[in-house]
Amino acid sequence: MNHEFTVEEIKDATRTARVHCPGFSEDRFESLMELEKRMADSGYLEAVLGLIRLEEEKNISCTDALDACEELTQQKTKLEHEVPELQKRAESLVAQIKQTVGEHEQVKRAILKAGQELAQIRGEYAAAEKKLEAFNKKIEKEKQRIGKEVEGCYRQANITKEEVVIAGKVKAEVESYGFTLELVLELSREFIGHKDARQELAKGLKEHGSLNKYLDNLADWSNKEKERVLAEIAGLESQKKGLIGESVHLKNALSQLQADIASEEELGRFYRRYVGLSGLMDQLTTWNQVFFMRCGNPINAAAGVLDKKLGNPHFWTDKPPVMCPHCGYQQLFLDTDIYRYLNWSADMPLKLALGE
Amino acid sequence: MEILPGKNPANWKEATTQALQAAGAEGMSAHIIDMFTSLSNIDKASSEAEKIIGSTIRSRYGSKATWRAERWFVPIPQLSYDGKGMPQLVIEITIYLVATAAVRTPQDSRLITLAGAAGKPEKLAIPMVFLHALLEKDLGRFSIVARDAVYTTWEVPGAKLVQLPNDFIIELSEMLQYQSVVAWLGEFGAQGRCVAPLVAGNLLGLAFQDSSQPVPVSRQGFTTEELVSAMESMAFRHGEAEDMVRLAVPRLRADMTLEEAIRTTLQMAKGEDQP
Repeated sequence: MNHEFTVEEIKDATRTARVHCPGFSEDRFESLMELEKRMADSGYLEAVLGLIRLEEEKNISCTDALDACEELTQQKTKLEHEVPELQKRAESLVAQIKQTVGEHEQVKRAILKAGQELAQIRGEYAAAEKKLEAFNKKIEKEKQRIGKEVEGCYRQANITKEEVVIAGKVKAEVESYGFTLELVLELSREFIGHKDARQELAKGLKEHGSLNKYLDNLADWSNKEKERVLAEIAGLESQKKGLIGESVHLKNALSQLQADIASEEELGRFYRRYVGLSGLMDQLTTWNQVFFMRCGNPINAAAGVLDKKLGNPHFWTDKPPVMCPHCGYQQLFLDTDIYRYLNWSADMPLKLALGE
Repeated sequence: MEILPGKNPANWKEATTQALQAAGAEGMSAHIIDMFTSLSNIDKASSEAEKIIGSTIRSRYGSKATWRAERWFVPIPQLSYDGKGMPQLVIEITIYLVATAAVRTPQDSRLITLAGAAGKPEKLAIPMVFLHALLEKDLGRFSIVARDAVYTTWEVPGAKLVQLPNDFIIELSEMLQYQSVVAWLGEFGAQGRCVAPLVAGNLLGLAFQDSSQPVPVSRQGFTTEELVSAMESMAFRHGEAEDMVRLAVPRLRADMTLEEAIRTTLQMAKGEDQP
């Protein structure tokens, strides 16, 4: 049976209802009729029970749930519009990631190569060190050989070093007296009747011209040889310094490369951690202004002391809010913590902007 | 009592149809008839039935006519809504006698159907506050002043004593458990649908009475008494105020606010004062 009232009947009913309830309106009557129709639908009752449960268990009112539903529906529509752009962005990011991974691989290969080169340089350096050591040893041996040769010469000349020194002193002394050593020797040959010694001395003089000249030649050769060896040693030390410098340079390059790797890994971690939030950040940048707010409801503040979850709600909005969307409380504060993180004064309007 | 043309009823169902036709209450559900059958004082009607049938047959077929009749008593409720004073739903139950009579006259014999009201109608007045309390299962709010095997009498503040049959209350309570008042009134046919908006509106008004917000004076409705009082408060004497309101009645509408009604009344009074 159809129990629906006509427009006139609704007017009659509303007028009659106003006898007891002056504020009763036709709209209300129609909404009650609608409710009666819906009550016949078990699904509607289930929905109502669900809303009651929502209100009782989650402390969310039906109106809030509907508002939230409407808002979420709008957000869904908005997000659906954003999906293609985000997909493009995701594809672009994937390409960027691939490129970054490629670059990372290249850097890794370069580091590996540099490591190998460094190892090679270290090997070369060790070899050069060994070579230098061997050369030093060789020099030492040469010096010893020369020393021995000089000693041999001394022995061959049947003189000692001290004797040469003494001879030098004698020569100098003799010359200081206006004589030459040859003259003295001649004189000694003349005056000293030592037959074998004279012959031997004569032979030596004949061979070298003079003993002093021989000694001078020997000293010159020794000095030249010493200078040459010292120059060679200086060259090797210079080479060693160069190698040490190059080693330091390569160590610095290695440290730089290791720092670059650490930086790349940090960059990767940063990317993986925050890529999921990039959509939210992009969305926030589209707002003309972002207000980070905190409800000032003292009840929630008191509850927050006992349980942090029950504390004052925080919310973001793109327009100056007039009341808390959670409890409707009208005293609101700017969420100064967030402004401090952003290094932004809460007194100035904030428009979020992302980097390149 | 009328003599009805057409087919003669052979059973209760057909007799009911004839009674509804005679009462002009077509469309009434059989459930409603059943509901009031148990409540009606059929014994009293039965005692009058023989007289009524005899008088009708004799007036039609002469004093020598004889008959043998089969009778059915069908209670037909008549609904009305009374909004004066305390609003109430009034059910007037009239017992209709339907009889199939075989009439024999000196000349011939025939089978006729007679239908008409028998006995005095019984009136059940249910104040809307009482019906609302019944729906809310809160009849305890009214004190019972009398009860016997058939009736219970309640004291409803602001109304006369309400006397209703016990069976009717029980049956009505059961019915309203699985259907709305409007649906129940709909089973009365056209008359039920006619009063349903008023009954429903009144019940809704009572249901939402506590939750109603104060309505600004500019949007409040008016009654004649309120309008007269308003005029009196404007320094008109009671008689003058009543005359002014009476004069304005043709222009007043039930859906006007009190403010509009006052303005209309004053305009009408001013118009009459002008030469």
